Amino acid sequence: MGYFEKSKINIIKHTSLWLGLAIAVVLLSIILLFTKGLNWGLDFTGGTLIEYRLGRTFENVGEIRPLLTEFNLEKSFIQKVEDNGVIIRVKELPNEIRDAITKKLSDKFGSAELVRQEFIGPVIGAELRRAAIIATILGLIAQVIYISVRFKPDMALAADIGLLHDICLVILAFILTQKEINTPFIAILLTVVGYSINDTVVIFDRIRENLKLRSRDSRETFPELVNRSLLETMTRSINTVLTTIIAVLAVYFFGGSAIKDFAFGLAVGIATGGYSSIFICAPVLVLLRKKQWLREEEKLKEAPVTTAPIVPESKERQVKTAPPTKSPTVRRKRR
Amino acid sequence: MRIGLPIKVVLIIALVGLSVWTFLRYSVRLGLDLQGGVRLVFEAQDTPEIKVTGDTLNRVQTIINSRVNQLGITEPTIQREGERRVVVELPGYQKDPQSAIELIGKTALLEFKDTGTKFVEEGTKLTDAPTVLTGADLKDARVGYDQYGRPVVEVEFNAKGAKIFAEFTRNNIGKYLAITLDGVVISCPVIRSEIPDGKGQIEGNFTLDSATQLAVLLRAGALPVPLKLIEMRRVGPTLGKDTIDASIRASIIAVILVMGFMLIYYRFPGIIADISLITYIALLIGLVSALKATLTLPGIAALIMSVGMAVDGNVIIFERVKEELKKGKSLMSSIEAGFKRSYAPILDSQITTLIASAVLFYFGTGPVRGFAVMLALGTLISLFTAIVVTQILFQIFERLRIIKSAKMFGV
Repeated sequence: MGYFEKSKINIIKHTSLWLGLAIAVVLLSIILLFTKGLNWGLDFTGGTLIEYRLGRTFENVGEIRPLLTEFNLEKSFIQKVEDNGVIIRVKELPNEIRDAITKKLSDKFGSAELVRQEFIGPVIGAELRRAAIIATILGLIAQVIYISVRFKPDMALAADIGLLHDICLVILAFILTQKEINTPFIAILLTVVGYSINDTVVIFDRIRENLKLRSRDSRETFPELVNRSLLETMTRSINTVLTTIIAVLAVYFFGGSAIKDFAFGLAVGIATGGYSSIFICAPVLVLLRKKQWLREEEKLKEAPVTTAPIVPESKERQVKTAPPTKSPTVRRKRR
Repeated sequence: MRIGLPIKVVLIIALVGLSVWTFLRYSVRLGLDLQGGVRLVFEAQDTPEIKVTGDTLNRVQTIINSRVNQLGITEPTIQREGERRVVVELPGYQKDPQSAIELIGKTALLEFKDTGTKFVEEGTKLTDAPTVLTGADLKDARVGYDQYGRPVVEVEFNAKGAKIFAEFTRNNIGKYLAITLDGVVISCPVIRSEIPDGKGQIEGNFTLDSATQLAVLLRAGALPVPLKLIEMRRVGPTLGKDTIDASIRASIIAVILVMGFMLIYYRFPGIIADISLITYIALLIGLVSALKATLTLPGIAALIMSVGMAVDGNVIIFERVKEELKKGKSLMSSIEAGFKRSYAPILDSQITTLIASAVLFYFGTGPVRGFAVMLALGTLISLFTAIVVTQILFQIFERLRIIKSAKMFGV
């Protein structure tokens, strides 16, 4: 017995707590989405972005802002990147003004190298948003189909509920941190879609296997079986999330400023994907099969009084009535 | 099919060797965000006469192709995207993107217009005068010099154009012929005599650069519809280089941490996981190089993340082996059962990731596509290393009698 199996933690017993938390996350993300909103980046808003590497380090963007007054751009979005980099985001930027800004910056800071320039037309943003939504929905549908085929439709539903929670949580994380949403955000969402299901699949596979192996007169109820399956796969669930998170955190801390937000989104998505598989998908599956296992439990309750003695008898009778040629093979197998 | 263990080992070592060789030989193709360069997205605009169709876009693409070839960029890519877009990527292009935008995005419709006795100033818009000839009637355009040594564009009409030109000049001596580029007059010479050979000169206050550019545009031909720039991204070489350095650092740290984790948590089986992880990395970089897949920044993130995901197969197998051992099975049958029972969950969980990458590939562009490709490649290879390579390693250690007791699995 592993650590978690010995611990006898009952996750399914606290289903209402897990689902309450999940509903809170979903509601909070929806409310904040409409009140606080996401910080849409250049890819979605359109406009022009320029990034400079300056000749010397500077304290904060307050040193840069006054330089832009002359062009009426002092209210633009200005962001410091590492020690000596700066990003300026504006709606429109004719080349002459860009060159004038470059000159001003290089006068003040010794040098100013234009390391990045991006222009995004207004149409692109709307399209990207649509593409992101369609891609995510299609991803969800594709996973539902796959899980329905490989497992059961109710398992697919349970997995997708967990998935929706994960997507909400990633969005929530981006609302709360106000990190910019750019094109790679689609990649984060789809990775979460893939990864969250990945975790769930391993747990559901174990539930399926345990159901198959369960003998007919087992006293284990379905919720107990799901809980056992969760504990049996717990080490795997934790370790696989850990190794992936370790890798993504390495990108977050050492991969440079350009990829930091992306790595952040992936890390959140992977963590919640692992969490939801255990604390949402499995409990939801138990709820979805409630009718089925309540019926089974009813039978079990009755079993000790009335049906229990009958079962072995009938089994014996079956063996006896079976053709005699078969019984030796049965015995041989048992040896 | 039964293949002996030594042959399997040799095959895998050969595969790893081949991968490393491919990587060293061909290296990896870097996306614009890593090596620097310019990415331009143009959208074809409908005109009252022409609606943009697939055919129009094909012509646009061909023309852009020949224009871009004049830029001397090593590996430009020009791709259609959707119904009316063309994406131009110019890796390593370090000049002001504006000059590339002008060269590629200009309609460059050259027209010779009959203005009769009226002289039209350069720079004015001229739309109403009847068109005699267009750039489509040209056979060639080159830079030349006039008698004062100023740059001009020498044009030569094709047979049909030359005939019309000769006829028109013969009948209109003393009158003006306005030459317009995209509706704007660049020159308005007076016709002094008949020009029978179909050769002419455009004098239009050119510098050598602007004359060269016009000649290029005329040779490539006019775009059938105007283009509008809707996206431009330029990454300078320093930013790209810094990003690569940071990515390499992050990859090394990620690999060390993941390997360390497996080793500390699983001990002996951890060594097996680590060896198959090294195999995984070798095969991955080999395949990425061999397929000439473009590596983008999100793609790198996918690769690093995949290192963490690749050991998942091992985790599933090792946990299963442990369980079987705890049930009291012998070491060898536990290992066997551990593998057998792990195929289904490993396969199912990896296929879900593949589905997600497929959807992402379909909807994504540029760097995001790079992410989807790397994620899919990583997933496929990790299936191979987690199942096949790990199993072979177990068999080797078993033959060498290194695997002796269940204690090695921490049971």
